[in-house]
Amino acid sequence: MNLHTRYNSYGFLILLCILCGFCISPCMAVASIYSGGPDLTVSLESTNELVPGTTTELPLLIENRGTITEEVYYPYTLRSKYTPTTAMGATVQLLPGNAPVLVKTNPQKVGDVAAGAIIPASFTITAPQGVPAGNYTMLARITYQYMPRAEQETTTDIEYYFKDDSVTIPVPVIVRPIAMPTVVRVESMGLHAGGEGYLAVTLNNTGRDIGRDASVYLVPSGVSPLVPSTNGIYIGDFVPGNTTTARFKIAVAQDADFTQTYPIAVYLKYTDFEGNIVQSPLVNTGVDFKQKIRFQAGGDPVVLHPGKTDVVNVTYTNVGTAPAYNAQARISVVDPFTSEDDTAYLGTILPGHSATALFSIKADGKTTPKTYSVNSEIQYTDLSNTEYTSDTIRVLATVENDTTSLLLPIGVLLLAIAGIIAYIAYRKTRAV
Amino acid sequence: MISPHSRTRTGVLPLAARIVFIILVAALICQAPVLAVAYIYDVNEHPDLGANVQGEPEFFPGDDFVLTVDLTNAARAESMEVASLKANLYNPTTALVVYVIPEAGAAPVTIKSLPVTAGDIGSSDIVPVTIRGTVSPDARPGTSVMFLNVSYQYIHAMPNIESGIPTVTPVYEEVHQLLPITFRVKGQVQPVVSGTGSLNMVPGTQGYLNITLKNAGYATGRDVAFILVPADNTTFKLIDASMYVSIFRPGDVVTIHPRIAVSEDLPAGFYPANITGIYKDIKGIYQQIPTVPVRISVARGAVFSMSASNMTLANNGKQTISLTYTNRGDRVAYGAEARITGDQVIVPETDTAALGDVGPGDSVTAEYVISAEKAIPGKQYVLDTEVKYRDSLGALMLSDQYHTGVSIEQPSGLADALSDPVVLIILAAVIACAGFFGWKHLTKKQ
Repeated sequence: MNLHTRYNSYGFLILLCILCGFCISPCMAVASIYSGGPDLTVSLESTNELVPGTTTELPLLIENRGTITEEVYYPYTLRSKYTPTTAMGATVQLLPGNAPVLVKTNPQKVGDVAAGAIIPASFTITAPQGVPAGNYTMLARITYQYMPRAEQETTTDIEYYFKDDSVTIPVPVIVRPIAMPTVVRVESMGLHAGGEGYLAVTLNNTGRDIGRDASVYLVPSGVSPLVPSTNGIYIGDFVPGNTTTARFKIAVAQDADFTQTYPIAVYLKYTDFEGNIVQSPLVNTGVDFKQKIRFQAGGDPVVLHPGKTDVVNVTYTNVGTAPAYNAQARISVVDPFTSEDDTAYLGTILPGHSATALFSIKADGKTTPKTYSVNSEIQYTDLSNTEYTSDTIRVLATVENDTTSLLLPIGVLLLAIAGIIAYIAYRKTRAV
Repeated sequence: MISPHSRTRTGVLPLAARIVFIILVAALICQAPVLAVAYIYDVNEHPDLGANVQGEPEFFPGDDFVLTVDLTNAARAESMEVASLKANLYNPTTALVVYVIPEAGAAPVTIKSLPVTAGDIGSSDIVPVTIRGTVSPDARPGTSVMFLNVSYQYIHAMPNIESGIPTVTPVYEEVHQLLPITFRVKGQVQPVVSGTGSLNMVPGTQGYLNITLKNAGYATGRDVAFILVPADNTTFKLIDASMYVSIFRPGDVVTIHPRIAVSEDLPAGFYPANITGIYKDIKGIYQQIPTVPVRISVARGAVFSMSASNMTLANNGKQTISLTYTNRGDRVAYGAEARITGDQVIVPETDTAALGDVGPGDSVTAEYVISAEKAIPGKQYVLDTEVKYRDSLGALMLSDQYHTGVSIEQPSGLADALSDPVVLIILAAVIACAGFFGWKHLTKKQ
């Protein structure tokens, strides 16, 4: 092939290629697209009800309803990389608006939202306890970019223009009316460590729903020294704004620390306005109680004498903070002591007051003189006649040799001597 | 603000015909499939949306429901022209940006779902939409219809404005359409409490609750079993908690009498419980009875208090004491009998007394004779007493034990002095001396 022919071949090929290029160009021809840009809307995938005192997931759906209004097909233009209806790099932030709620989730990046696409974004919302029921509007703020215009400057270059934009869309939410218990007062009635008593919990319904057939439940928090005899009290219909008192009988463990306030939680179970049996949020409060009733045996050690039955006085003082009713003291004696009269009635002993018990104790004749410890305890009742037994109270007993036991023989001896003297004197007088 | 933000360079100018040729041939190969799938649709087509509920849409009154509704587009593009120029962006059978507003219509439901977006629904596409709500508690059984108010757009027309440059201007048609959703409300036995009462529901014994239930529902229950479930089954032990009713028609009234043992230390008051159970519906299928909250009313019962008089007696003496028993409870103590218990020192000679029926607020005084042997003077001894009686169901009941004190007289004056042996010796010595000197004085006179 000579050079001329070769150039002709190249020319033919070039011409062929250009013709092919013309054939292909309609498909490559890029439309200029005109639209109003993205049109973002927000809807909720679930219900929009929020319950006070709870945390809820609010699943939002972000949709782009943008539409193309015109598309022009210029020959020999390039395909645009972006569509003007696409919201690019969108970030969704949920704002409380006028709703008394806390939004726990940070703004979320949801990326590009093309026209017709739906992108989910979930937000965690907390409705604090006590928020008033009603309809509120939260706000979903979406920030994004879009491309309103692209200019093809040459046959190879397209220059894109981007615009930052944002839209704030209302998200209606409903704070559901509930019966909300609020603790007005907690009163301990006769509660002390190691005893039983009553806890009167006064509640106010600060919610917006009537709690029909409502019951108040008491839940000690964690491992607690407070044990309710029953944890539910029926209170009937609980109208908003009304106050009611539920009285629980509870027992307090022996080793409970009276200097602490122990937590308990209360909640309502009721039939709501839709006829469902529901439970209110838990409301925490604290319970105080008094010190355990304690007794001390006071005074000097009781004195006993070997081989003799002695009546001893033991004075008991109530060093607790609650009265002990129908108290009776019992002394427990072991060898070398015995007792046939070991119980004494003390009656009611008020805090700080004392009562004296008399016991009859016999010490064995071979008892070594020294100080012994004798156990005693006090049984008492509370106002509701529940019986309790105190801790063991130690009574000191000193065994001493009896000096008064020689008094009678000495006296008899003296009388006998006096009689003998009198008789001798009488004989002398008669002899004279 | 619009600003140039990025610049894209696409393509490279050919430097030589060989290179251009290769590139164009490659481009031709690449473009071929695109050419094959580009269409122009007949603009007379339009979407054909429908709604089908997944599963079995049957609910009881009061149910919270979650319906999954499939939105379908049955439209078909029946004719289309293979495009050589325009892209296939504009399919008139596609429902664009579908927006769904659930509406209750006349159905006995409360819709809780907000309007929801369903996006674009193309031909043959199925897009599920979730609808949440509650069926009214008093809904009558039967088939009901609620609606999905669907709005969308589609390409209604694409007039070509071709003045040299091909231009497509889609004309969108806005469509609002109500799509019916049928569901069925099933009849249900719905007991409601129309009366409550109790018999002998007092702590420490067994009693009965009387609960009258009315069928406020629209279904007839057969082989109905009602069961009482206390909220606290430690405090209340159910002896007989269930009741069978062969047929329970709408409007029927039955009274159930569960027998319950009440814990001894339970204070009087109202305590929560629920009535539940099962029944056989008209198809013979067992259904659950909706839970009905009730209250268990507990009375105080017969609760005695005791006061004592004449509780002082002489050592080694006898005394008639009086104990007065008062019923401070709210129930009658039938055939009450009181008893005292002493010990080895305080010995009752008569230890029981019949009190008879003691009504609430009534007081009865019983007298007992007690004696004290080897008692310590001045000491208070314990005297226990309790009351035995029968409740209104005839069960034998025993009251709490009450304690009182019996005082032993402290000897006073001469008796107290003579009880001391030292005093006795001194006294004997004084008498002996007095006798001796008296005798001596007489003998001197003689």
